[in-house]
Amino acid sequence: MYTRILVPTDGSGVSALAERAAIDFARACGASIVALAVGQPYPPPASTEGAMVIDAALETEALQAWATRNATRVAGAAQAAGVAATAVTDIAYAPADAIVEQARRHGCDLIFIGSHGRRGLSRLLAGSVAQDVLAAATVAVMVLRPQPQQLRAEDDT
Amino acid sequence: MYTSILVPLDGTERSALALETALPLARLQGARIIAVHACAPLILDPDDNRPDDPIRGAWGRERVQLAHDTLAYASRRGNEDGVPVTTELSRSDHPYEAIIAAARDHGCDLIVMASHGEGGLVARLLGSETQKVLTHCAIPVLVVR
Repeated sequence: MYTRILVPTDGSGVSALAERAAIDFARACGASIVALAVGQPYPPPASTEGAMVIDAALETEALQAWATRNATRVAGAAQAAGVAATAVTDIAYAPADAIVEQARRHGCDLIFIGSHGRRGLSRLLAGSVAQDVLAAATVAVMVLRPQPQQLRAEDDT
Repeated sequence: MYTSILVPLDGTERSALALETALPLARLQGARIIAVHACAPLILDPDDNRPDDPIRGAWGRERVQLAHDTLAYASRRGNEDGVPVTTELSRSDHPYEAIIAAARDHGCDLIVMASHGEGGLVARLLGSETQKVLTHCAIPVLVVR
């Protein structure tokens, strides 16, 4: 059975579903949780032609603060449920790669991930992190699907 | 958490790994396992195996035997580990359809399946049937490697 579960969080409703399920699962299996929040920066523009000054460090700081908040929140929720948990943060352009790498680094044997799984071109992008994790993972991956009420709440059309 | 776990088996070692993962999980949760194997209707119907083509006939019989052996294996493992296992031989040309239908028919709340199946393209990042199940199903899927 699984002993250490990586739970990525992006602060979304879909992610919240995976977090709750992961905590329940960990409790049932007697596993511990690594709660990971990955801050995803915008790629810096090649040039703004003098239109503005971009301080990349400011963005990194904000992302780090966001990531720490979210990872700590999930780890706290796990601990409140009696599950041992660690909060981990990362800053990466490709969150999926960071997820797989952190799972490896922390010796996780299972990754929990939520997937939008929506149809249609614009929707494909929403599930792409889950897709990329599935492609790159070397350990088992539990893919959670959003509930109908979740989809409605998250729908931006 | 889970009461009914669907485990698709295509007869390969990889899908056996999915079963081996599902068994202790089912035991822990007091859940039942639904083991499903899909086989094309054309192969399951002996009348369609052309008598004039002995190779096709032999292959067809071997294929049907694999189907039965695969499900018998699932039953045996269930008995050994004290987990109730329901087996289903699904007449279908498309494993992912059989998987989703079986999950729906048996009210499954989790699917445990291998990342890759019998397809030769192991270089694929994710097996084609696993991909299709993930695209179409509404319940959690544990993808095992």
